[in-house]
Amino acid sequence: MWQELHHQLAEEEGLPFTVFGVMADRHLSDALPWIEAAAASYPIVIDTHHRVPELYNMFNVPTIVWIDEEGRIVRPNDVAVMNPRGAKLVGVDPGAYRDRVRAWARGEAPALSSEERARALMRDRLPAPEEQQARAEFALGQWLWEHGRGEAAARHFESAAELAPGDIMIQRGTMRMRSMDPMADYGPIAQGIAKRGFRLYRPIRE
Amino acid sequence: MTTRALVLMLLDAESGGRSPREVRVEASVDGESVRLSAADVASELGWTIEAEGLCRGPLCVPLPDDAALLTDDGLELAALARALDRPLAVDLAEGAAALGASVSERSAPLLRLEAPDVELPDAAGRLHRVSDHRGSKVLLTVHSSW
Repeated sequence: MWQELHHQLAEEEGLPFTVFGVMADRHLSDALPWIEAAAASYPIVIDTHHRVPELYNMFNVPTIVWIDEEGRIVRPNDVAVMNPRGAKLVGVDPGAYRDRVRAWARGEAPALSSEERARALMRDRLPAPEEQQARAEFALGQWLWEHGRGEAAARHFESAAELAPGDIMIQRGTMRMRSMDPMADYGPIAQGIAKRGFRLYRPIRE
Repeated sequence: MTTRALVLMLLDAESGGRSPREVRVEASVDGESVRLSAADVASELGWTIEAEGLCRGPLCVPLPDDAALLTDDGLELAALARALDRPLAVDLAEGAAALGASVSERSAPLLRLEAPDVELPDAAGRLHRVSDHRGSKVLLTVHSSW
């Protein structure tokens, strides 16, 4: 999904730019087919314990963060999908998004209109106590699952999902470990989450 | 009161590794109450129990003034989590628990717009850090197979 953009900017134009891919999956084997299909020349890492979602307070995939040369977040948790169906779902025009990334990588335009805008968006994307509680339950569940204690793990995943219903990373990412199908069984759950007032995607409108 | 081994996962702010830091402690269990010895709290969690409360270097966090929380059997784990404002998940039957990160720990770097660093393996097992790319702009993209 990002290879073309990475290749153009980092390899053809030789700009100091890279995509850094993270697969938040329960196990490497789940992520492998996706990684092979991506045929990426940028790094793609496996994050079985949702370290990145936890550190950046991400609640769904895909989530995109723009980081500058000094390691500063210049555009916090954002979302874009390149295929037309996904793009319609999240409400972001993929062509315009790619243009925006290109302009930023080339130094033609900032990632956001101002740093104050980045700070305001960040203040709106900080974790809540119940989300951190849910992540502790998730961590315990993931450890139990990795140690062959599936039933106990499922109980903690259920607790996590109840504590933070809007955390799709947890809700959907633990479905396979709760004997559910993250494709077939997700629809009704997503509707329930939306009905409770949680947004499934939060794109930055700029 | 029984004693049992407990695996405790620590989702510390400073641990940027692929999984939470994992320590093994001896817990004194009485019903729902789980206590850790002062020695384990010091050696495994890095907090010493002083008159001021829980201390790590120059930083001290007060403990509630309740004699029941701290006895000869040690410090109540739930009280420790509350004092540090950190979430706690416990499964006594499985002998495992997770001490999560507090909202303030997680929010602090984000409010400074600092990209938190993490080290994770690729499919070949090679480790990568976001900070390996300092000097470049990074588009951090998180996906999932589901």
